Parts: sequence; structure tokens; C-alpha cells
Amino acid sequence: MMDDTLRTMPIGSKAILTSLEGDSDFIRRLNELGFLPGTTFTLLRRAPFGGPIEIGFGQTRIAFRPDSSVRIHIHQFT
Amino acid sequence: MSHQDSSYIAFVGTPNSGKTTLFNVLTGMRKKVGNFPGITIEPSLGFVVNDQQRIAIIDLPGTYSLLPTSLDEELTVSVLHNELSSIPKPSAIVFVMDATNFDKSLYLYSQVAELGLNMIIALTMVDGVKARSGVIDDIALERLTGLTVIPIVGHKGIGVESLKEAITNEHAWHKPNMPPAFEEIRDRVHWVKTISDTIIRMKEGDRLTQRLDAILLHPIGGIISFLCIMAVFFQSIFSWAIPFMDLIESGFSSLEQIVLSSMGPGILSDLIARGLIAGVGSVIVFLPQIIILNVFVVILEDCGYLARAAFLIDRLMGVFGLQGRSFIPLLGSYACAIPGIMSARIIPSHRDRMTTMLIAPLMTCSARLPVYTLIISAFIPPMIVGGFFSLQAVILAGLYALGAFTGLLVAFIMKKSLFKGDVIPFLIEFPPYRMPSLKSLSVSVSERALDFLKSAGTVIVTLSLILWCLSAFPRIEDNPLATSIEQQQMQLEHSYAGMIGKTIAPVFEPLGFDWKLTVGVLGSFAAREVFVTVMGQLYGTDTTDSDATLRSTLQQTIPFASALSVLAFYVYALQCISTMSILKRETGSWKWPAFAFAYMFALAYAFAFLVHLVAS
Repeated sequence: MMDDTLRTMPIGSKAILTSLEGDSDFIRRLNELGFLPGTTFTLLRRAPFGGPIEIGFGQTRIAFRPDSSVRIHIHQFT
Repeated sequence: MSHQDSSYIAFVGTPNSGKTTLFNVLTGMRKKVGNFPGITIEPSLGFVVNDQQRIAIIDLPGTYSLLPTSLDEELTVSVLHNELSSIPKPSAIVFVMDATNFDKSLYLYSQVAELGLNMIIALTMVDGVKARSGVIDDIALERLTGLTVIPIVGHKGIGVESLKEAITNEHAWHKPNMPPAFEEIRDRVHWVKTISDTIIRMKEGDRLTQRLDAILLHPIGGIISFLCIMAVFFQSIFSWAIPFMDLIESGFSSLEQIVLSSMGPGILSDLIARGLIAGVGSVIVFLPQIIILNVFVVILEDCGYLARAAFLIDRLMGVFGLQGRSFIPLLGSYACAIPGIMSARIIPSHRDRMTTMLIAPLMTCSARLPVYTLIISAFIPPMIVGGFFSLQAVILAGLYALGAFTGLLVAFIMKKSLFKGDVIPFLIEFPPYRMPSLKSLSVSVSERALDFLKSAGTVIVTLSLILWCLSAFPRIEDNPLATSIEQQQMQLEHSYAGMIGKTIAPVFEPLGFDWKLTVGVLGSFAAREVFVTVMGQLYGTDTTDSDATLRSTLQQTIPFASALSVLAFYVYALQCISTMSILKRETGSWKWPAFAFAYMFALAYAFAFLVHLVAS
């Protein structure tokens, strides 16, 4: 489950990743791609019907399933 | 390893770094189908040749890290760590570094450099940096790494000659400067960030990509464009391939006729015409669909759309335990499971790829259509239901839907049992849109077509010959009073195929099949549409007769319940040696085609039994 804040975060808004919890392989790969606590990212898109979400930071754009295996904690800018 | 000495150079890089394009442009058709026992994901093996030498290079699957999360990444890692008996450690590495995705490339580089092998860097996509009004300091990169850096614009061929020259001078390569020792991933990521700030400067994001994605990933526009692209794809393998397939089929059948008429009747002319020529024809006929489907898939992948399509369709496929990338192989399987199964290579997750390949034959391929139309037009009255729909069309649509639904259900079960695993959830990177390289495209497509001819084609021809022998032996004497059609009918009845059909007919009896239907089912192993030909032979109508004759004969001799049962059987049964041989090719063993055959036969048998029970 993602944090409610990521779930409800408006498309196009920015937030800081505060922590990741859950499946260690998944977290490791997100970290390796540069998605580490402290990273400022933009929520770019949500796929239709509750599909994957797309985020962008720096030159990177990745999409992943809002899967139950990882909890994503963020701090949203207001 | 299959070449003379086991020394070779490996291509290593992140996914979408232009590594495979560069590899294809460099080696052209100087490739070999790798023969690496026990490995299902086969890396490409190619050669760079000059006057004095031939250097082997291997394209290892792209990975973001040397801590793998999928089987193909694991292959790259185990080769580099020298953990495989079939592929030894490379003597040196060409590290393909994507300038537009510099941080991720540098991250992987820092791990690969720790291996201490001789390396050079091929810096790809340098034109992409310019397009984002940026600069990359390749001299600084050389200083940092201690390696030769060769800037490349792959699709224009710039830098390819220099890279080729460097590859033929391997003795001049160096070991990289050791990066600092890192304790955590975080430290490595921060080091990468610090270094990359001194080497590359460019705007965030590519304008063209942003504009295209505003349409192609738009909640409504994205779905509409996805449907349009898939419709063209579907149309292309169905309709555009048909004229070529017809041409090949009529070409081979006139060749058969020429042989039969010039050599006269007899066992030898029959072997050459109906065994050999028909067998080779049944292989070549797949080529138009294989080529068209692969052109389409390679273009979608190389231009960057495939990742977007996977993103859009992922939710739907996720319901059945599959992922977005499974969609294309499954859609392709509606034309034919063979190109469909081959295109499952675009799925990086091994488990998802296996599941997709194993359910692909349940999608209603075009070879089932002749069987469906024959039975439906003979047994289902052309009445109108619901005021608008023809009953025949409703039944046909129902058969299509049944195949798709069952396939997805089987996928769901397989992902819960057989291929349950610790793979990480769907995670995909969106590369910038790029112009595909025409040369790389033609190399990839012809490589796959040749691979099909060599590995699956030989099996298909052999099996067709065996099937021919079963229906041609033992010979019966020519009866001067019989017409040639009656002669054929008697020959088939008294052949091994006929005998086998009669012997195992009791097995199919609960489905309402008599021995003739059983022989038809057996014969259609060569290809499902052969069922129609065999029925024609057994019921004494020539294939040149109009189908109407055969239809009325079938109506009079086969009970209605049995006819429905045949339909039910063909929805599920894996009646196709070509599919089985391509499954063997793609999974690396006969275990999986045997498994697929068994589970589909069980499904087919159970369903046909049920239908027969209800209908009679």
C-alpha cells in the first residue's frame, strides 16, 4: 500500500520521499534507480483504472505498480 | 561455447542504452545462434571481422545493477562473475554508456569497473544530449575512468568505425581506475550524482518525448492511440500477411502438382510432393507473419512505445497475474501462436514470459478458423438470434472468447502455483522516444526469421515427414476399378494412421468421435487446418470439390453432438507440431511443450466430453 498522500497526491505535484518499507529487492532496485529517501520527485501520471503510477526525478522517469509489497512514505509540498 | 577459442568481448549496459542496436550495426549478419546448454535466455553471439582476425562478441542482457532482480539480469551477472560453465568470463568489456541516461549508466559502470577487466566505453546517444541543449565532457570521462571513450550516434553510424577499430586492438585496452569502496547503495548513488554533475549538463527531459507522451499517455487519448496502434498491428499480421501466405501456399501446391504429374503416380512422387514439398511449404508459410510481427515488435521496442503500451495495459493484465508486456505476444497469437510465442522475448521477467508462452496457444489462431467454419456452416443453422445476430457468428465469437478467457484463467492459476515467485512487481523505465535504426531492425528481424527456419523449421519438416509415412504406409494395391479419390480414401483407411485411429478410437469415443474423426484429429497435428483435408479424404470428396459437398456429407454422417464436441475439442487442444517445436526452441527443452500439450489436451478432452454429454 502506498501512503494515502501518494494515492491522493495531485498529478503534476512534487513531494519528497521520506522512507520506503517492504520487499527488500524492490526497495533496493528503486534505490539503485536513484529513488532514495530525500529525493524530490514529481507525480507525472496514473495509468487508467488504478494501474501503475509514473514518477519523475532528474532525468529519470519510472513507472511501477502501486503494489502491496512496498509502503512509500512521502512529504508533500503545500 | 561453439566458437574456436572461448575468448570473447562482452557488451554490457543498462536497458535502452542502445546496446543491442550498436551490437547489430557492428556485427550485421555475422551472427551465430548461440548454443549454450541449459540457458533459456540466450545472449546474441556475433563477430567483428577485419583482414587478420575474427573477434567474438556477446551481447549480454541489459541490467541496471549487478544485484539482479530478474533471470535475464542474473545471466549477465553470473557471466561476469564467471559462475557459468557454458559461458566463461569475457576477456574484456565494451561498456555501453547512455549519455541521456548518464546517472544510471554510471551506477552500473561503477559496479562493472570493480571486476577489474580491460574495458572501453561506447558513449551512445550523444546526439540526444545536444538535442536537450546540453554538453557532455568525454575528456573528463576518460580522465575519471582511465578508459578510451568512443562517442556514438548509433542510428547514424557515427563512431561505429572507431569502435570496430578499437575492438580489433584489444591489447591496447586498459583496466579502469577503481571507484572508491562503497558501503551502501546510497553512497554509490551519491558518488554517481557528484561525478555526473562534473561531466554532463543538460535540461531535464526531452521536448519531443514530453509532447508525444502528453498524447500517447493521456488518460483518454492514450487509450485511443493504444487501440489504434494495436488495430494496425492486428490488421497487419492478419491481412497484410495473407497475400504472401497465399502466394507461398499456391506456389508450393503447384510445385506439388508439377512433381505429381511429371513423375506420375507412385510412392516416390508422393513422398516428394505430399511429404517433403508440403512439409517445407508448411514451414515457409509462417515467414510472412513472423517477419511482419517482428518488424512491428522491434520498431515498438526500439522507438520506446512498448514501455508505454505496457504501462497502459498493465492493470488489465495484472488482474490475471500477467504484466503489460504480455499483451503483444498474446494479441499476436490470434494470427498464429508461432510468431506470438517468439515475440514473448520482449518480456524481461522469466516467469511472466513462461506463463505467456504457455497460454499463447489457447488464443484462437487463424488455423482453427477453417475447422470452425467447416463445422459451424455444416451443423449450425444460419438463423438470426436477438433480432440482429447470426447464430453462426455468435457461436464463432463465443469460441474466440472462450479461448481467451480460459487462457487468462490458466495464466492466473500458473502465476499462483507454477511460476509463483519472488520477482519484484512491475517496474519500468520510460526511455525517451527515439528513431529506430533501420540496419539494426533488419538485422534483428532476419536473425529471428533465420533462427525459426533453422531450429523450428527442421523439426517441423521431420515431423511432417513422419506424419506422411504414417498415412502412406503400408501401401495397398491399386484397384483398377476405383477412382483416384476412392483409392486415396482406402489408402488412408488402411494406413498406419488409419489403424492408429481405429485402435485409439475408444479413447475418443466418450467425446462422440468415430474412427474417422479420430484420424482427422490425429492428422491435424501437422496443422489444425489439415483436419479439413483429412475429412475430405476420408469422406471421399476431393479437396478441389466445393466445400458444400463435404458439408452435406458430414451433415448426413456425423451426429450433431459429435460435431459440437469437435468444436469444443479444437478450442483447447494443442493440435500443432509447429507450436510445440517453437515452444521447445524458446524454453530450451521438450519438457514445456509436453506440459502444454498435456494440460491443453486434458482441458480439450474434458470440455468436449461435457459438450457431447449435454448435446446428446
